[in-house]
Amino acid sequence: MDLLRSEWIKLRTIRVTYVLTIIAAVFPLLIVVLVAALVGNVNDFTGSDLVTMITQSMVLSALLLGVVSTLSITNEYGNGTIRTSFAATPNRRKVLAAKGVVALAFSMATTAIVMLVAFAAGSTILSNRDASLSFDSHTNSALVGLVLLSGMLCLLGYGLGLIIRNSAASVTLLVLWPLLLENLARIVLAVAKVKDPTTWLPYQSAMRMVNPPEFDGGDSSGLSAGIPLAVLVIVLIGVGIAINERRDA
Amino acid sequence: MIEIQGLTKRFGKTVAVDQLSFQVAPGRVTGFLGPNGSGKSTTMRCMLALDRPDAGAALFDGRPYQTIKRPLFEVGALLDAGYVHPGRTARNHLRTIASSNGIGATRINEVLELVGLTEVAKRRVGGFSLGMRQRLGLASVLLGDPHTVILDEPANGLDPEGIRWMRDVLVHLASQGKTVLVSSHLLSEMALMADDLVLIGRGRLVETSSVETFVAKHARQWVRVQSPNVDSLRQPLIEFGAAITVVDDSTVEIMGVGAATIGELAARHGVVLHELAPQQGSLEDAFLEVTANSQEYRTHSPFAPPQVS
Repeated sequence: MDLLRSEWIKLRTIRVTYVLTIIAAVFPLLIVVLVAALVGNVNDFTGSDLVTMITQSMVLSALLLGVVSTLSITNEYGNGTIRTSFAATPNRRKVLAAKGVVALAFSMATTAIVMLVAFAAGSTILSNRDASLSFDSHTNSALVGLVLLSGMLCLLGYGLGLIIRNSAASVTLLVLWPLLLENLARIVLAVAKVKDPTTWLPYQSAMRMVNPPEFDGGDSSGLSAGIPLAVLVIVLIGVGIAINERRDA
Repeated sequence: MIEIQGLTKRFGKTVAVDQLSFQVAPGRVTGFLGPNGSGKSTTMRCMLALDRPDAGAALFDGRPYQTIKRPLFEVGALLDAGYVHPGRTARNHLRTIASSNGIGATRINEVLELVGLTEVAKRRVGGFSLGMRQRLGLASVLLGDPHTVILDEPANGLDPEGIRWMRDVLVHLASQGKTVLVSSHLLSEMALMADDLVLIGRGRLVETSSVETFVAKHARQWVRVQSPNVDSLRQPLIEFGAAITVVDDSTVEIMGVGAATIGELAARHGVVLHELAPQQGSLEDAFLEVTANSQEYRTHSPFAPPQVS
């Protein structure tokens, strides 16, 4: 508990955490409120549309929270405070695990709260405009998937930070991975005539957790689509901890 | 008690610390000296399990550092005052460290008071001077009131008042029976503060002894003599094997012969003496003498005083 408290204090006592979290919260809320208030024909707006709007706008939030997680470890290396941390707790595995747990809990809790607030705000505005919203099992699954995706992106950033130890390089890779690298890989796999290339791309596969079925040609994979990204994250963190155990701090 | 046993650390082909062994006794301030690149900081990092040694061990009261469950209560270390997040306040910096070992807010307030940073506790560390960061670093060392204190260049960036304060703190800690190991380039400070010395060069132990013994053994000793007819003493002194350096018309510095002998010679030859003062070189002189062959980077200063012939 002492280590978790220490890591929580570290996370919440630097400005970048607040700045990125506020952006991560305000951006989707703003989108949802504006669209719900300004959409032309509310009768055509379904519960699924509201959930899709929330999940798609909050993917950016999940990435920003991943950046918070990345900086929580790379800032320690950049400022040399990792040496203070390891000197105060020589069991490095415990320190790194506590840091990961705190970053994960923060990311998932923030995502869940923002998502629920956005959902409540969007529902209220649309209901006041006489829209009739109904939700099905997919919309519920997408909301859970969003929280899981946020957790995995948080750990992806943490794992990259553990291995690379440099803020700029780790954040760049975290952002380019989903936005560029997997898209390039998808093109390559498609050209190579690989069947359903998305299955081989961890982030794009995980996005199926939050995408509506029509985004993926009617295929709804459910939460199991997140498994490749979860495996990747586990491998990265395992490698990162092993490297940090052996390397000089 | 700190025991270093055959500590070895390599970086590629470079041997930074080579089979280093020494002990640091409780109740004394031990100065850890060596030229730049001699391996002092690497040794300290290996002691705290921050760098992984290739061989050997560092033991604190018989235990390796990594086996100590709550190290802040046993070993307080400050390796670099720059190890802070500039955006964090001084109090929050201490909270991050203290909470990892279950140390509460009361003790944080106490150490802030001890180092004189209470008034700036809510200020961001990024705006601190190096001297203030050193004080903050010492506050983190004192959080658990440890019985062993390790400091790497703690006087860096401190003003004269700060240096004196740091010296008083370390001497006070040693007087309480704590083990204090401190490295510093300020040899004049070390001479005032340290009881014992561990001197290393090129990663190897050069010498370990008390400061007094070290200076007596390695620093130049001479006698300053002032007399209106100092020339009358020249021949008798040369016959005694003395080396004489002329300072001015009435003053000479004599090596190789003690003050008592010079006084007796002066009396025997009827020479009036205005000054007969035994002199001893400083810790710095002794340090430079001993490490002459261990310096990685050396310069020959055009401002150096002439050597005695």
